[in-house]
Amino acid sequence: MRTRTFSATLVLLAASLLGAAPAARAAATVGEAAPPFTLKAVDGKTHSLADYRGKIVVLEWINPNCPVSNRHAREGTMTELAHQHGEVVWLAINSTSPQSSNYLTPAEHQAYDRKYGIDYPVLYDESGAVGHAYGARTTPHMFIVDAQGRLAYNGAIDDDPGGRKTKAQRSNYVGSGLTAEAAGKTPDPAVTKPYGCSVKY
Amino acid sequence: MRLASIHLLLSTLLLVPEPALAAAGGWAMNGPSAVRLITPWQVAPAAATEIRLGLHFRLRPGWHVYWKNSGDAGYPPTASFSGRGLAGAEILWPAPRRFELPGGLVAFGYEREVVYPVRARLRAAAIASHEPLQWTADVDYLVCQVDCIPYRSALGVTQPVGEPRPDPETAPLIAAWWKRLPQPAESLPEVAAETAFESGGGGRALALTVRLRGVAADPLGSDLFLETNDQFDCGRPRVESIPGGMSFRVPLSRRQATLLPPATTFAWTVTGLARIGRPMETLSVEARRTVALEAALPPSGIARPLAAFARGPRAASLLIALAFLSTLLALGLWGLMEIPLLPRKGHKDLRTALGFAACAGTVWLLYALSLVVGAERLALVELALLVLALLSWLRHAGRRDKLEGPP
Repeated sequence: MRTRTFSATLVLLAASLLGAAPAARAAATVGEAAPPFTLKAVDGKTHSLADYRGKIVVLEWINPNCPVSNRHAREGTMTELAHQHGEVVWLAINSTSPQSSNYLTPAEHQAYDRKYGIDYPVLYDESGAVGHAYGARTTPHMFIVDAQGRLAYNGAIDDDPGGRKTKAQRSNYVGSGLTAEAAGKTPDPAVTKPYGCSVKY
Repeated sequence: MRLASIHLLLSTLLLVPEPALAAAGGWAMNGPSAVRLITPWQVAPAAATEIRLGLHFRLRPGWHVYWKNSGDAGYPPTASFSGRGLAGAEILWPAPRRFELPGGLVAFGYEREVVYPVRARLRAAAIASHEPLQWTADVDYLVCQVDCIPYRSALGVTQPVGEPRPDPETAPLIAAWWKRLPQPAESLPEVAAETAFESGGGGRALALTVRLRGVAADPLGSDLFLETNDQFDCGRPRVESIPGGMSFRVPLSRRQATLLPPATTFAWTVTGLARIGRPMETLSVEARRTVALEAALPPSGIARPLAAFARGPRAASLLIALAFLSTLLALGLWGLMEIPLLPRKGHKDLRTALGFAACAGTVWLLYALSLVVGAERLALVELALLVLALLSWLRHAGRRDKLEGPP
């Protein structure tokens, strides 16, 4: 009996020590489960990715103090796309650290959202944990999560970092990705290089 | 020359970007940055078919502009060139440096001052007419400190043509930055470059290794920059000295869970090198190599489906637990440990043989584990199994001594 307890303890100890050690690097990979999260929006409401299982979700990393993110707000790139694809859940995530000069209080963010007609939830990720789980690097940095909760797209909003093309001339990767998802296909390209300011972790 | 300097001074003071009849166009002043288009000639030779222009940036301390791969954030400058006699123009990319950003992000680029060399091809007929040529560059760029500001500027320069006369300011400036362009590895006979793709952990632990022989690290340090490859995210390179050269290992992580193609192309630039025997000469080397990805995946047919299954820490825990169970089974069969339901008497040879079979199972499970975890964790598991075996043998020996009593 004592031997059994002794060996069981050993097995449990070793498995918990070794099995629980962190893996090398876990960034979100297209085709695999999107990292789950629960975050508070600027209006205080809580949103979990799990709440939207069965729907396509777009995640947009946002920072109103980043001129590139702000240009898209001014041009209505995101809001127009969100309205065009009414079936899709659009969530903006702001991972700016409260220590950063770019940080906005929720009230300031709400005023900004009203000014630019941003009518979808803007979630605060002040610790940057969700940003790091997705590997969000820029504002904007876009992700599409499919109805099964798998990551379907990771990258830029479009092919025009400097914003010199007209909207019609741009290849909007999220727009074409959502059209593909709606038709039961996978976005192509599924990965692109995001552009913009660095996320202010 | 004095006129040119005065013009330059005036256009700088007046902050007006305008075409200048000289080797340099006026500065476009954009917040923390200033940019102008320069040529190395006060008067360009009428027989020229190619000319080395430059996009000259000056930046306030702490601000940077980008290399062709901007790193985790930003974007590289783009320019469309036009003008009489210009048949084509291409921006070239001098050796960059690395900027650390909050959150472990990195950017690749240049600070304080940079001249992006521009290789421009000329139309012989236009230049032979000896009339001044007006060129413009419509430039888009992002300048960042921690904050970023995008700018767009129309730059211009007017290039007189005739009896060639280099400009004493811009010609050495362009030449100095041209020298900072990475040299193709193929063009350096004394340098041997080897590019290899490594895959461990069932396709999870990927890395690109570049070994350069015939070079040493510059005292200021050596670094490796990869051009973007959409299939992978790149980590920080581990730089090591190897006999007769340097080695760079860049961890890669896959951005997509689909099967890897049989081969892919990596373009790398290594900066901060010195030629062996010529330590004063700083060198950057670049190469574009297609490497096989398939060959680097687990070789065994059994391991492949297992590697596909074994993703993430839960699979590792399961494999570790099974390895412990099969070891316990072996110890039980050998009679070193009491395990219920296992016969402890009789068929001694059969029990010993089955114990070895259980050990073989442990070996296979550890092999499978090696596809999922790193070498250190694998060694820890093996050590723990050894300690388990040692402890059970010590207990067994102690009990046996008690039963047998003192001799």
